[in-house]
Amino acid sequence: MANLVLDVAEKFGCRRVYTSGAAVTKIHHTAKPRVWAVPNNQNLAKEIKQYQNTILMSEIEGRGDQGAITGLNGLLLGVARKRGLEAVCLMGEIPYYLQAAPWPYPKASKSVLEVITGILGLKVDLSAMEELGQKIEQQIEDFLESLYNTEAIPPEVRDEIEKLRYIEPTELGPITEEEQKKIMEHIDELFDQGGRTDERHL
Amino acid sequence: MKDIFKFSQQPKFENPSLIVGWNKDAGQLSPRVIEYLNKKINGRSFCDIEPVDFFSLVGVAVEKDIAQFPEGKFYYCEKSDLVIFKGSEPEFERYRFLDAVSDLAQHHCRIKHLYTINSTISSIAHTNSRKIFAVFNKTEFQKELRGYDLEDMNWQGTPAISSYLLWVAQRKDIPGVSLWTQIPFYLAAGEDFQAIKQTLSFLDNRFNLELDLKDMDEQTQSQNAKIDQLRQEDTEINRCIGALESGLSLSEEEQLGLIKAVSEFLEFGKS
Repeated sequence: MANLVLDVAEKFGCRRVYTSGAAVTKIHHTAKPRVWAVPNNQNLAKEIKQYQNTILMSEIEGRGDQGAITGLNGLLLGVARKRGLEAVCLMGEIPYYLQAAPWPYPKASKSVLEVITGILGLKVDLSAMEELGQKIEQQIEDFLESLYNTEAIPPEVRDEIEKLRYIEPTELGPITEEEQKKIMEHIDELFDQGGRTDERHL
Repeated sequence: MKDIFKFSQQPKFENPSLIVGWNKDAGQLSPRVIEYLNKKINGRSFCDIEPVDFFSLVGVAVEKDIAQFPEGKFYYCEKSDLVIFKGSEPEFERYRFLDAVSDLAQHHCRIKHLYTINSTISSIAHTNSRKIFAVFNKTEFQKELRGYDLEDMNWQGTPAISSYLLWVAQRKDIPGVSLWTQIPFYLAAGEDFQAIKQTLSFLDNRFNLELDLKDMDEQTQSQNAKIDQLRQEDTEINRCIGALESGLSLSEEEQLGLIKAVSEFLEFGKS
């Protein structure tokens, strides 16, 4: 599949490939998502450092400079590299406690679009996406509040989620993997049990 | 075989030797030797191995910020009459992969000898000279390489990919040698320029390549100067390296301390 996509791209004279996806991380839903960028060559890494609100793997707290990108988003980078084409994957941050949520997360999409339109020098009206992002943010707030009130989420898990609200992205160290796992267990369970209702709610 | 290989050129081979290196190796020895050699002798790629059957392609790994992709590439230098293979170690169907590499080398390139390049982690100091250990698959070839300052090697354990290739080559009657250059254990996470140079010097002598290795000397001197600085700043590190220079062994704790201090000081892992 990746080869077929790039065959067509090359026929049209494309010189660079952009892919995009989500980066599940410790971020609060009220924060502006950053964009994780993974290029397929060293020269592109230098260029990426100049983009706004964009970070390389090595700049992500506690991650080192390693990772993996699954699916075609990643594979296209590799196949492009093999063909000598430049490629970069841009991933918008989404809160890990919402990764199983049955609704979109426009704030991350908007962050990616801001970067890509900036690189390509395109003027795109993102106000509708901004509006949708705000609306969904409010709905997430209401949804979590209702879960807190009914104690569907234990107080310690609530505290961990709320801790993220006041932490800058560069300071997201305090929540441990164990705490993250605990939050995920509860949130996933809630989405599994009440997925349909939640969908209506939002 | 047609499904596995993708040819981009059809060079005419004389009677070349094949040098095989892998993308990952302690002290970056294997990839750096191959890259350096390819650059100096102007090796040109003529064939790729299709990765589909040999690697997991559910995505890509990211290392040092950059997306990686498995590769297996053959290069040829007409002037030196050398075929070079540089590849990622296959994750699946290792025998089929090595069988294909040796088949192409034997029937398409008509190679006379096989050389594999690897490092071996040793309990030596960076100031010690590096030995190159050798494992042969034919005694006649072993005799032919006497005088090249190679040391015999004894090893029992799980075979590395190069040893596996040497065995596959033996079954096809291709004379081969697996070369294992020593690197100090505390340089394994970074680059050992002295070991890289030692290996290149062997290849230079063997194939009369007339390589100018001054830049390797400069890099070695620069790295040694940094480690000297660390020794001056840290008496415990100086004592540990001094012990290794005297042929003494270190405890596990001392070894780990030395690896950590040198890696941090030389900033291994940061590009």
